[in-house]
Amino acid sequence: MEQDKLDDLFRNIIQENQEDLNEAELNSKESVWDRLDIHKKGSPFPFWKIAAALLFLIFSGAMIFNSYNRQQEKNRYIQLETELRQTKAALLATEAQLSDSKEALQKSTSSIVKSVEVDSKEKAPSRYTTIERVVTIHDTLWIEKAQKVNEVVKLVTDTVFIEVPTTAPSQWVNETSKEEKAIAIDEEIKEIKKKRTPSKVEFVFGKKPLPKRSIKINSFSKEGELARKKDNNLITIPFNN
Amino acid sequence: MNEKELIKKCSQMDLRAQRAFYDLYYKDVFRLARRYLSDYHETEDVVVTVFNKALKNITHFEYRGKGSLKKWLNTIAINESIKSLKKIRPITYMEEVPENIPLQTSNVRIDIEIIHKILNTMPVGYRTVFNLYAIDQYSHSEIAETLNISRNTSKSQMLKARKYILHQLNKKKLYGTG
Repeated sequence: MEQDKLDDLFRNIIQENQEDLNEAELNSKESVWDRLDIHKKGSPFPFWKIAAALLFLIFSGAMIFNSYNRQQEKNRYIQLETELRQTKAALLATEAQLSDSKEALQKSTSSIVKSVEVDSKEKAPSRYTTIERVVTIHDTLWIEKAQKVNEVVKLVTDTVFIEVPTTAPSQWVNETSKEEKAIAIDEEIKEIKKKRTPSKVEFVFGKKPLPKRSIKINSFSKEGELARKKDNNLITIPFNN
Repeated sequence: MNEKELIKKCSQMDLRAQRAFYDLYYKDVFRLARRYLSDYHETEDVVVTVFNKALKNITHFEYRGKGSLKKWLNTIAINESIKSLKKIRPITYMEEVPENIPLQTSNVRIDIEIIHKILNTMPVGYRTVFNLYAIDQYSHSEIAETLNISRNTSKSQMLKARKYILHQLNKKKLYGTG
């Protein structure tokens, strides 16, 4: 058999093999059909995927921002340190310069002092010596207004006593009612006023300076009250009321 | 429903037409893929891919007479089978061939089951080239292009595949020098 005939034989057997599907092929047929994309429904909108992506972006952004800030801060510290070193170096240089200048100044000062000392030794002593004295200079005058308190003396008299001597009626002693006594006294006073009106009343005021800040007026003392003195039958009438 | 109508309705995403298309070509596609792939599940996966691609791209298919649809579908199936083969393991093209095999016979008793058994036991390189050349009638140039090998490799693999088949037939006493 030629080689091509073998090929044809195989091809013909395969192509002519139109036998029905065997059991395995039949089972596969339905499972394969179910797996086809045409049965797939449109997937719902992937909210969770978008949310996850957003979260990822936010976290990534935050991380990058944080890292950037850290780097910036680090750079700033490095820069500050460098500046500090430079400043320190400059200060040290200035200090060295100053110490050199100081040394030079000390040398020149000592030479001047030496020359002055030599000069003072060579010179003769003088007649005059200089002393220090204190000179006070007054050069300012103030005029200011001050309040002066003038003392004023005032005399104040506020009480007049009128004493009228009289004889108490005999029945007063025996009377028991105070009202009756009062009425009787009133009537008695009226009669006395009618009969014995004094022709002259003299007011005698004594002049006496009052002590400062110690004036007390006891106008409502016991002495000023209307009182009856039974023993000597005198009536005292307050004048200032 | 003729092929033209079937294509038109499949383009319109008519599920009944798609099922009819599937029923019509499932057996051919499955058996073609099975010839290339020894594994049953691999074959199923390839069939799924083939029908997905076909139903998706059927709108771009140009009908060129009776049988053109089947040919187009077979091309997709062959390409997908080879892609699957390459994806799983690289195809090796064996050089050793059984010696002293007579190449002539007069009493051949071969059926489809024996062919399937021989193809299943055949090295992948031999089987692929034999399928492409002997069964699906690709030229050596087309095989070389499809498998990314040289024409000579394709030829030598074909020769070795034939020798292998004869050897297997001889072993089964189905083939003799009579």
